[in-house]
Amino acid sequence: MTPIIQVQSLTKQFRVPVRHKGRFSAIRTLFSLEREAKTAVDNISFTIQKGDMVGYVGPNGAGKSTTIKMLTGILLPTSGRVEVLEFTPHQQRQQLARRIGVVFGQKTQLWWDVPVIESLRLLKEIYKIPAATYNANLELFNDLLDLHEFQHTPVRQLSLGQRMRSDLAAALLHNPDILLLDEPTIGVDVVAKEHFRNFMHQLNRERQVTVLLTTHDMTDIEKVCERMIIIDHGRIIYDGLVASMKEQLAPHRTLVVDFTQTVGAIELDHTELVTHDGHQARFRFDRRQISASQLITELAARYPVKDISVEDPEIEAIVREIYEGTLQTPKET
Amino acid sequence: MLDSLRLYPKFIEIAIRSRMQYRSDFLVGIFGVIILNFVNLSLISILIGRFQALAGWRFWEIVMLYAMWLLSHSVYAVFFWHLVLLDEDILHGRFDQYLVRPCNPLIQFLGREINYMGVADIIFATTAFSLAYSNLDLRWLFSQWAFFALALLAGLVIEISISWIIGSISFWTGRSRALFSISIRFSVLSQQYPIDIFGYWYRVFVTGFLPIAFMNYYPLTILLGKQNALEIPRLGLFSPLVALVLLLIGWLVWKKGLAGYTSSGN
Repeated sequence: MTPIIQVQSLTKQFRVPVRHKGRFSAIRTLFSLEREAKTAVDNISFTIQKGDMVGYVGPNGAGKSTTIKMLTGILLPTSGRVEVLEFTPHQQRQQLARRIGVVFGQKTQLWWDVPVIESLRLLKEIYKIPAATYNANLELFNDLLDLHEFQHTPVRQLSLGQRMRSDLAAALLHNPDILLLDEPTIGVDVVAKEHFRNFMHQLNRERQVTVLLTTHDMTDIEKVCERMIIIDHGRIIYDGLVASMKEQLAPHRTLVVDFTQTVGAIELDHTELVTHDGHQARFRFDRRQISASQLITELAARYPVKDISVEDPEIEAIVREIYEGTLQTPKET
Repeated sequence: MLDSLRLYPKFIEIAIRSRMQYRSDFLVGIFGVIILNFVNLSLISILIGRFQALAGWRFWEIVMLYAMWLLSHSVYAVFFWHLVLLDEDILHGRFDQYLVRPCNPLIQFLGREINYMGVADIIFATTAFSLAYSNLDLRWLFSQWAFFALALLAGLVIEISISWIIGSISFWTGRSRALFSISIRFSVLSQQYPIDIFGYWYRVFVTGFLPIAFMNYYPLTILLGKQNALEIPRLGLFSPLVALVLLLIGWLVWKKGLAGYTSSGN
């Protein structure tokens, strides 16, 4: 089966004015004609199959939005190839637009001063949605998004959560094959986020919509997506299952041991002693070198062990390390 | 494009509904524009009262000059005024939305807003024109009326095109405020006074570079049987041609800008 989205060696560079430093820097920048190329997306490749739900993660400025804008045809790639539903987005933008739905969480795509339902009616005309489909979808959104509660309220008076729900409805009204979500849950409260996650599951189950989701909320990713792509400085640093992401990017686990009585110096192969106060010791170990059960057996045989637990790093923590640039990507051994 | 055109009235309908949400703003706006036009004309009449006539133009002739510009400008103001705001849409990323919908982005942008203040201009301009026509004791033939109508249309297209060109420049520069304020200053001067009162280079500028004199001045000199300031006979007949050329340039600049659109960051 051909993938629904194909991205190959995709690169986007922007030409930005060279910033001058020192005296009169602002004025010199203003009058300077020098330009330098800034690479926002650097030679990335991935494919997405129909029905996949993929999380697209990375710090601000990593190139997430730029990628999405190239997938929709808003931006022309500097080099490389993009194919979405067998269209070349930048050349067949309007044809593609009929078959994808886009939500930019930072700005609504609804008409600000009129009730939500008016925007939906206009979208019906723009996308030429048959009346039957339109009505069926409205019913579905009333059901899953509680749209009826605020459909007669002007968009500017909606809460962020209600606005997100309206934007989702607007993006899905024409039964798109692909849904591109760029930070849809930004600024939204916990309850509304939960609402969003459930909705995505139901949607995927009933419609097999393919979803590419950008967010800074790792819980969104863990609960909605099976697969995640992590991008940093325009490059893909991880592409795989959310579940195996820990093993690959953060293979270190922590073993916490409580002793029944005070224990002096401890030595344990393949581990690194993090803290030890006599009653409790913490070890760091690489799950690819030694398993937790081997360690436990060895410890129990040699020391008076009361309790043992194994701590996994949170995805949240791993991603934070990536954002802060402190993650040491493990070398293959 | 044709398919998108079908949607334009629907966009406008939403734009009107949006405006009606702020009713008092609407009423104050209409009232304000009528006052503004009165002030403009009374300034001219003070000048004329002092000098009897301006460079051979009598009071009612100048009223007609102003009314002619205002007639085309009012239609521009209602439907196209927000071309001045194109740079904001580009800068704030609102333009991205137009590109992810299956509808021509220009139609979506133009359908975004309606500027009711232009309605006051239409009322004022029609009244001023009728008064001038009767006070000047004119009896136009059908052919003259036809030319007048064509000139009004040309004037409208000229103003739209100039704004379209300047607005589209913001695809490269990010902002087009400075250019707009220059062009508006020139057009304010040229619409209220016959360009005869200005120097030679000014006349050349508003004829050849920012050809706003083709909106009202040149066609009206033909209709009133006056010699124009550049002493080129029948120059006003070229108004429709000037309009078409400008429109073509506008279209090209817009196309080129759109092709290189780089969106904005978040």
